[in-house]
Amino acid sequence: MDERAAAIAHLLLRVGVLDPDDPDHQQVRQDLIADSALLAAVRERLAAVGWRLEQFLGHWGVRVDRGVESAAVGLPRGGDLQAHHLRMLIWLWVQLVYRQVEAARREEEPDALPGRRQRALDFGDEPDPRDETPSVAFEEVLAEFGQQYSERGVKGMLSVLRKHRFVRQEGATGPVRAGPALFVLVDPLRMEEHVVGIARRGAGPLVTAAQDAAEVG
Amino acid sequence: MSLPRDMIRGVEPVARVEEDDYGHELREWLAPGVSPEHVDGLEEAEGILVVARLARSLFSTTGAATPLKLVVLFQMARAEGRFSRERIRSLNRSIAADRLDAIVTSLHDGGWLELRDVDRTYRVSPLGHYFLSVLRAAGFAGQGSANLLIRAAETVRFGAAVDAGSETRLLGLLLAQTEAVAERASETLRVGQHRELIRFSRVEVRTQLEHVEEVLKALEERFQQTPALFERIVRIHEAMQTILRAHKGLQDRLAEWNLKTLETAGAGYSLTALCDAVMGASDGEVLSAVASGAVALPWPVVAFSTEVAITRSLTSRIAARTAREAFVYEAPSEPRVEALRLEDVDPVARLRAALRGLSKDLAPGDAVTSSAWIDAQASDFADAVFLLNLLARLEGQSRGGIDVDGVVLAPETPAADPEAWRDLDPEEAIEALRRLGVLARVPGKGIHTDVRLRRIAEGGCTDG
Repeated sequence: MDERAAAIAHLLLRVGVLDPDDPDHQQVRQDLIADSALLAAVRERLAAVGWRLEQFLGHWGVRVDRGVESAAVGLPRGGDLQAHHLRMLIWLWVQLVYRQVEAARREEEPDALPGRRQRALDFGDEPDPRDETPSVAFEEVLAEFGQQYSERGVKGMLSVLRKHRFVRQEGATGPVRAGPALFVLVDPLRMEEHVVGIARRGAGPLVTAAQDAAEVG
Repeated sequence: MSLPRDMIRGVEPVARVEEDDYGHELREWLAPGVSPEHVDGLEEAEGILVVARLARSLFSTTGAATPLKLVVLFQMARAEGRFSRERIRSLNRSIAADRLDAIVTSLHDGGWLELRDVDRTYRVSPLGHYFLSVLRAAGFAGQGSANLLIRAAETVRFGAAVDAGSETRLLGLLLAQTEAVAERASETLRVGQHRELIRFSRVEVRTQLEHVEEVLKALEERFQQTPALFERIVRIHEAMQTILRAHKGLQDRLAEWNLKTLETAGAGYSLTALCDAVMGASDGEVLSAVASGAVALPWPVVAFSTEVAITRSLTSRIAARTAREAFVYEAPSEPRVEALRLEDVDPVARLRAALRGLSKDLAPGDAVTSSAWIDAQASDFADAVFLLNLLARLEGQSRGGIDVDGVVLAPETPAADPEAWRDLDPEEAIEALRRLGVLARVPGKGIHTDVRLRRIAEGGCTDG
């Protein structure tokens, strides 16, 4: 088991988050769920090197321990993620993850899209498997961010988020779905507190975002 | 439809003035010998003539005057009391003063406004009030499909009242309209996005259908006596049921969608409001999500231990399984650097080296066959022939032998008696000559005369 725990720990350190489309990664996920001793061993190994195993809504990954994070001043973090990327990340988190969180709180079927059940009742439609995962149409993202950024800029921002596995998308204009990092690297409670705090304070005009538009576009 | 007596009284003076002209003109329009009393429907039509003067006055030849006249009438119909010209101006400041005076004069001449001479004030005439309310209630604006549904129902109601023979055609129109709305409702429910659902829901189909149903109930008893008409009413009811079912579906979907998108359990903010807040937040507020720990940005591995090293060494199996093994750099092999040997590039030098090697271990007087060293030096038949050619050239140019670093080698060719081989089979003869050492097989193919090199004990001849 030690060998398996070491292999999983290294895999997590190497890839950051487990890919839902990778059968090997999903096997790792199943193993962690099924074997508590293995899970503990992996946690221990990761903790030894300053990382913490996280899982949320079925997505698994690692994030740096808060203590290590605060101690590691000056190290590169986030790389190319800037304010406008973070704005889109938070916006997508509200659309794709927070909606599921709220559904789970109401003890509803988390993946059920609006009207799916009614449509099935009315027309006997078979549910589309793609409907199982919440998504936001690229046109909707463009309509929201296109006021400040060009279409090329919006595609570029999505590309960066794709690279860091925050979102998944088929092609540059396909529907945007939540990537595993959006579940693992975003603390749901802290993010809810943060977003609600912004809403309470009231948001001003997008002055700075408009300034960034020229850089991105 | 009968008008109140006081309304009729208001237009009587005008009607009397025009009565003679009307009777004279009507007789001109009728066929000879036909009196107005014998024209069917004329009396009913003449009942509408009381508003003819009002209509002529309202619908001017210029497009802009009619709506402005209606605006003035709406203002005066809503307000209390009588209106002087100054009061009318104060109520309609958006209309140019001279044009407003012209409008008031026109409305007065057309019978819309009554003038009291005592104080020179106006009010809307009773017939004008009634005609104005009829025009407004007709609701000619808004020709959307839902409104058209009500229009169709009203047409059936009034059409049945006016023309008893028009029910079939009018019900057909109502049926077509109802079925069109039903089809659109089903299509919207099937493929519509939430915005389309909201838009469709806002046309208040349910209210429209209740109105249609009310009209149909009123007409049903009469139409039950006519099977064809009753069948159409049944079909209209069926289409209405389809619309109601679709509308119920739309409402359920919208309610479900609202529940999911417009409510948040803890904070009391809708998701839309939260998204708007994020879009409106400053860069500092957005970046503070990282500082607060809400977002952990992707990090490189900041720690490395023997555990990691062991882990890495053990996980090559996973990498190999997914065909994602890391590239391992290998330094290219160093080229061999040696001094240039002339025999590698010069055939003559190569021959000389071969002969030197041959003569080194050769005792004076001894001989060696060419087969021995050609096999060692030539790689193929062409190479062997080339070496032999060079050897023959050296032999031809030398007088007493080939001098190789002081050792003289004399080529000699073993002789064979041709007469002794005359009757032999060529193949056997060649094989016999090869066994005797006269012929030698060279690499690749072919047989040549074996050349022997014999070391001469003494001599100083040149090799050319």
